[in-house]
Amino acid sequence: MPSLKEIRNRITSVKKTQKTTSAMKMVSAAKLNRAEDTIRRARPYAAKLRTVVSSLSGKLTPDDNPLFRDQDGKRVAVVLMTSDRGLCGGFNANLCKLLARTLHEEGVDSAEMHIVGRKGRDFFRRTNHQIAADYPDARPEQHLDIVFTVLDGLTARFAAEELDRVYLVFNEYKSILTQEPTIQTLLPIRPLEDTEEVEEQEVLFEPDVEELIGPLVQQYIQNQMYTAWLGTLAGEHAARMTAMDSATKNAGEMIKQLNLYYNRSRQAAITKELIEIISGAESL
Amino acid sequence: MDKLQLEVLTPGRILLETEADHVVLPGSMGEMGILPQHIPVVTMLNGGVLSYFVGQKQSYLAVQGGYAQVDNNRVTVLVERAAFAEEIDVVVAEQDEKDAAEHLKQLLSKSSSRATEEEYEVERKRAAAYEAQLLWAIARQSASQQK
Repeated sequence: MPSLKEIRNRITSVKKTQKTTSAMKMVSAAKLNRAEDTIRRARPYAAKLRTVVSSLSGKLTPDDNPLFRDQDGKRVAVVLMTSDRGLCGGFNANLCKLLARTLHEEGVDSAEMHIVGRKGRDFFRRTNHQIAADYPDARPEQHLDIVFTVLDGLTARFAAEELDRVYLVFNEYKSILTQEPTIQTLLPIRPLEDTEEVEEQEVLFEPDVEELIGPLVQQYIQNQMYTAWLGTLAGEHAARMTAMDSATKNAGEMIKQLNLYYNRSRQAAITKELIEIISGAESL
Repeated sequence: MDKLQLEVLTPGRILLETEADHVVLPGSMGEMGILPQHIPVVTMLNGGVLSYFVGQKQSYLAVQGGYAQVDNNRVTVLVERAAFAEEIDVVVAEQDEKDAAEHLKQLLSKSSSRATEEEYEVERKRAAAYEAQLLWAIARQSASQQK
């Protein structure tokens, strides 16, 4: 049985942990607010761009743009977005596991990984997948630039038929409580499922299809990346906030238990001492 | 008569959502007037001035880098940057123009030296960024002159 002093120390240490977790929760909540605001403002644009591209994608063929070329193959590149820091529940682990499983099911043994965020790198370092690039020292604000540079390279290689597919893997930010691990096929660009049947009507392109579609598609992909990046940022804070919230609650629970135990032990010790004194007095 | 639904969006915000009678887009092949019942169009936009009429009142926006889609009396403008003519600070825009022009000049005079491909790529990107800044400054100036 631990001594009273040991229990007391334990209580102090749990209290300190609780202070840390609750502070982290506050910080994440504040950061989340800002990130969520940004993502909310970015959504309409992304949605519109999506509608524009999807309303066109039905009218386009691989001949118009190589990025629409859809073929089977195992040359897969992945852009994975994770966070740098842990203590955010299953945020990174779930995503990495989903990706590993999906790649395995598709029979891709060695995908080319471009990883943003330390946690993703740590996970995939132990696998067969080949990490083409990671950026452990980059600050989150630099991630976007990095990702765009990577994207340029991948798009060019896809167009040159050196890659068969490019996945974008990230946590989609649904709400504070849900972040959904998402694997999105970035390339080839597939007609979106929710495309409404637009009545066949002739559409005028200016200057013309070839010149227009290239930059438009490029912008579309970049925007997808941007949205994914915002989602990852907001999701990380949301996940950490939730995780830290439950950690704070658990610590509170633990302190309660320990206090109870402490008081019981104290009482037991006092009772024991009293009995000793009384029996000592009686024996005289 | 029918009205047009005009929307102007940037990655950061919805700038404008309004009904309009007539929209003039800075299309890549020249200005493009859109009236209700226009046939579907997708066009690239040049940096420049977008204007729209509500009744007799004409309003102006500076826009840069994007697309416009006209479909079913709905004009959707997706641009990298946009600002209302009233919001534009001409002094800032002029200063931006000068800065960008200065930077571009420096880059051009420097880049004649033999550089590696990578350096070249970096330079090219930087130049493109300054060029965008320059165009944006000019677009803002011409929009604010209109008001």
